[in-house]
Amino acid sequence: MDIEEIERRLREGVPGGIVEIHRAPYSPHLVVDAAKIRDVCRFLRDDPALRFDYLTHLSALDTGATLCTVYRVLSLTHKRTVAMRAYVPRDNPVIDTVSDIWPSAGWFERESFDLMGIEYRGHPDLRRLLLPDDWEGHPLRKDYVDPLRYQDIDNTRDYEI
Amino acid sequence: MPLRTEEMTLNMGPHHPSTHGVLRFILASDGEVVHSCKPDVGYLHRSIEKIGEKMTYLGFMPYTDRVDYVCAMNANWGYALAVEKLAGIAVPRRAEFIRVIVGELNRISSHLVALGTMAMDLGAITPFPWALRERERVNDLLEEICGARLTYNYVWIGGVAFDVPAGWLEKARSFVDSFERMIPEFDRLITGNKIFHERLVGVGVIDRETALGYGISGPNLRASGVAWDIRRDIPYGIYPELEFDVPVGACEAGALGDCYCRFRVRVREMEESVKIVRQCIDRFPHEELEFRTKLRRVKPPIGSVYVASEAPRGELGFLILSNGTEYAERMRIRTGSFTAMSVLEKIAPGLMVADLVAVIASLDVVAPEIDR
Repeated sequence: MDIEEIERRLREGVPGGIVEIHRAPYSPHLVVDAAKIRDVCRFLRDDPALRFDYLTHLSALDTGATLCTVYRVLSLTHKRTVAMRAYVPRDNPVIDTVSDIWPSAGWFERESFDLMGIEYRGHPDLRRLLLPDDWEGHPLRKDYVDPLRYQDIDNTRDYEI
Repeated sequence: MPLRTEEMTLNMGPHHPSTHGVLRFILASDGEVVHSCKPDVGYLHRSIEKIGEKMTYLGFMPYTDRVDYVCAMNANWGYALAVEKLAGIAVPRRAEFIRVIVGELNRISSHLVALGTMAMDLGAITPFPWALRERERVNDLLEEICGARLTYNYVWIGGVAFDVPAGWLEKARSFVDSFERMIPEFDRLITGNKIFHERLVGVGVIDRETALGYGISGPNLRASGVAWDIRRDIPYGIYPELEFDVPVGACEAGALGDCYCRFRVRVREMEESVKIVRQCIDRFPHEELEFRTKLRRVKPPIGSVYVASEAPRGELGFLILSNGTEYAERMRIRTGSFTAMSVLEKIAPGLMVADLVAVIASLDVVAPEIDR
């Protein structure tokens, strides 16, 4: 089953869930309507013909105008993998959590919230994962500016020793 | 009158002898029983993903050593695979063999650290120097090939940094020959030990459903009965030409997916690595001299790629987004320890505090790989 068949099956199972198949230049992936991400993911996991039982990884990208969450799921039953992207607006980057569908998303979403600032609605424990709780900003965003000070520690190098 | 008990918050780490790096756990416990465990990670966050956007593709290679310094060869290799696929760079056949040899030697040394420290966490000091004695020999071999003992920067994009020195393959063969005899020795020392058994059998069971749900990978996943090995199932390099078994949790004692299964899977994986190294030495293409595609710079076309490789701690995947320049637009690293750590929140409730140490050790988490 290639990405076209997966898409066809998803279009039947979750009407309106898939926006398009992206083929080039980026590696083939499904573009998912962010509002339907939970339906798409649950269908991917539960449909017997798909059975994507393993979330390989979840990450986030900054595309400039939008932010996007990247999902890569694997079916150990059928030995196939598929990638998905869901775009969210930069000024309101909110998307539903999938951490109850694949528990591994729990930490991946926390990491993505921490470093890219995407908010996962319904996540049971959405806190920063890697950075300190009082850190400001999301460093993997392209418009992130390195802070000059953190907790009275000088981050610049122009000081006299 | 019933005995009054009270939940206590217990802080473990960040500097704790049994936490395999700088890790912190916040435990809620009632006496010795853990009610909840919240891992607090990030102490070793070095923003490697952000650095990946600031460095050229060639310049980023030494940083991959630091993703997981216990198996830096495999981290180098995983990154090289991703860039090679993205930029369409060919790898000479001689380099493919060298990569497998150094990768599997590093897997052996990584598993030795895992098993030695695991025994030490359980209170057995002797196995640790025994395991490290063998690891030193791997370090000597890798030092001879690339000059470094921990962070190698050896597997380069397009091949490997240096050719194998004269006589090195024979040294590697004599190492695997003697190491193969050392595995039963290690077995006699520790595997059959009654106290060791008591501490591991039936402790920290991760069933198949949980393992898949939490995205556990590598030996931890296989210990839960899932026969999934990227070297075999999404093969890369010359692995399709090599013969090796994929050890899966055999439930020799206790329950499938317990700490003992994870221990045994690693021991058996070392045996498989020995087989793989020996095959590579036997079939080594001596007549092909090229070991590296010379590259002045790497400038992949606009595109993206995700390439997974089987590192000793599970799936090591690089997601690279290229904008057509020498600098990546996004460098994402998926590591095995990250998901292995997240499962603790699920399996810790109900464990004894001392068993939690065994579980952390059996999952073989390496903190810098979680934090990157």
